Amino acid sequence: MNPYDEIKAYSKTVCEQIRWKKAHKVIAEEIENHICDQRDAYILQGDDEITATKKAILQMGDAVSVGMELDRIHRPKPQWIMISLTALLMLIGALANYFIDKSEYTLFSFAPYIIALTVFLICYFLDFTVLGRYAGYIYLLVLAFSAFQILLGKSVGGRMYYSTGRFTVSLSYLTLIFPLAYALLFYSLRHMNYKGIVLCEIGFVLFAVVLLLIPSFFGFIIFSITAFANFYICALKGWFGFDKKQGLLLALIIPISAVILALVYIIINPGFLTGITFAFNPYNESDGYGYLSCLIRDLLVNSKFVGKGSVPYRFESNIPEIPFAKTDYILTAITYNFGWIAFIVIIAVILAFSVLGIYYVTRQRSVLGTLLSLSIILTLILQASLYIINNLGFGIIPEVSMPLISYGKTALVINSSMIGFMLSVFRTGDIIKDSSISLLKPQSRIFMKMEN
Amino acid sequence: MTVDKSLMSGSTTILILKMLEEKDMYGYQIIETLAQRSNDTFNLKAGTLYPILHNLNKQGYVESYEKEEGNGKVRKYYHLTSEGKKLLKEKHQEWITFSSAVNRILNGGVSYESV
Repeated sequence: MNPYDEIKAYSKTVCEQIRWKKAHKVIAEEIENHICDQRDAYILQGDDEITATKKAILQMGDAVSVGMELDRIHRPKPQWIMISLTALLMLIGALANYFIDKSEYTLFSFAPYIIALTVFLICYFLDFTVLGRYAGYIYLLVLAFSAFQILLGKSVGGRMYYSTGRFTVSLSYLTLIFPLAYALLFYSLRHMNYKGIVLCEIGFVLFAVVLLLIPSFFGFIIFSITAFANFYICALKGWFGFDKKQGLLLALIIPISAVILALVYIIINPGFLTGITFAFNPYNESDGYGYLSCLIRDLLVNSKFVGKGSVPYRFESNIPEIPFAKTDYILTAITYNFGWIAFIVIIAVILAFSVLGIYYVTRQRSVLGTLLSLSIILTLILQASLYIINNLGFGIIPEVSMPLISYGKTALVINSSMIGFMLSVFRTGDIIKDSSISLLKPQSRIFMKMEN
Repeated sequence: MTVDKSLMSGSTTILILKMLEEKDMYGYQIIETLAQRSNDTFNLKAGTLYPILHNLNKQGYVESYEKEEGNGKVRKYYHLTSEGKKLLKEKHQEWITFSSAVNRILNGGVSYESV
């Protein structure tokens, strides 16, 4: 056996003792590097390569014992608490939808939850680095797919839908994957220095324009904040190759371009500003713009701590119905029908999920793991926050969903898969090394043409 | 002079943490520095070092990162975190208490500190 094969054989024996296969590559590399260093030191002391290698391997200690020790340390981290919280949110969603509208419910109505749970589990067990491998392609695919749907979609009640056969996809819900796709673009461009920054900015503007064309202003807000957070973290950690100060200054291009785009949108759509005015003062037009917000506020004022609320005075004996209760106002409906206690329980579960999620994000070491998990947890937190604000009677048009709770198959499946990927990062992210993810780069070909 | 291994096993972690307090190091560098500083008294086996380092990493006392050397070789460096610094302080204090107690007994009730 030649000396290098002996080193390989030693690291192979060590790795054979480690049950978590994902850890093998990283550990083998470190051990082989160490043996080579030790071998080189022995060669400098006058040994020939064969003797030096043998002595270096002997210095390592017994391969089986070392492997067994490392096996005890390197294990994936099952995310039982986060999985339980996810399942709890899904259960709350399924039950809430059932109790709010029993008439339309059949056993088939639970099918989306079963599909969502399956998708969640698949993504949880999937190797999340696959997203990093196809990072550039995923961004371009999402962009092309959304642009295609805008061209072919139809606007219903101010929202864009795309229908094909029995399937209808809500474009405002579909855009929930924009922050994730953008994080992947970030990941794939991180070594390109200034060119990378310029391309990231182009990537941001393209997604932002799609969001404003749908229109999904809340989606635009979620996307802009998440994109800025990604940029900020990259700058802070020096992942773009700039020093911290320079990177943080460059990160400001995201909020600046977001504000410019928002202003252009407001100038083109002056009605949007009127909507915002009524969001704060809905009683100024309680039969028009402010009708829904007034109704929600009246219902919440008349909600009890436990049990069904009383009928607001202005409705006399007619029990009011909340329009779009399952999709847009499920929290209001739950609070009015079951009391504030139900609202508090849901908020507590969301809060626990968010705090734990943020904690795990801060523990990530790889660039891919950090960017993916950060973009997903922020998308979920911002979605929930905007939905809660709307459901407390401060809304305009709630184009976002309450993750896993409000009705909407597109949102349910997208949110479940994103949570699955996030938990996959938390489960295995510890051992992931960015350098070991071989990137397939569509951007290197596409963007190189642009540069030329 | 060689030292009984069982004497060293309890103090390996504190020695590794101390090495990393001064600067970030890779595995081989830790072993070499430790051997030099102790006049070859502490000849740590790599098979002992890495499980300890990986465990400290898992518990958040050290962080690892890769750095490309001039010769193109990529090395994994370990960095002591603020939690690691706290642990070192605690372990150091523990060691002072332990060693002075052992010394007191070995010297018939007189500690080295008072000699």
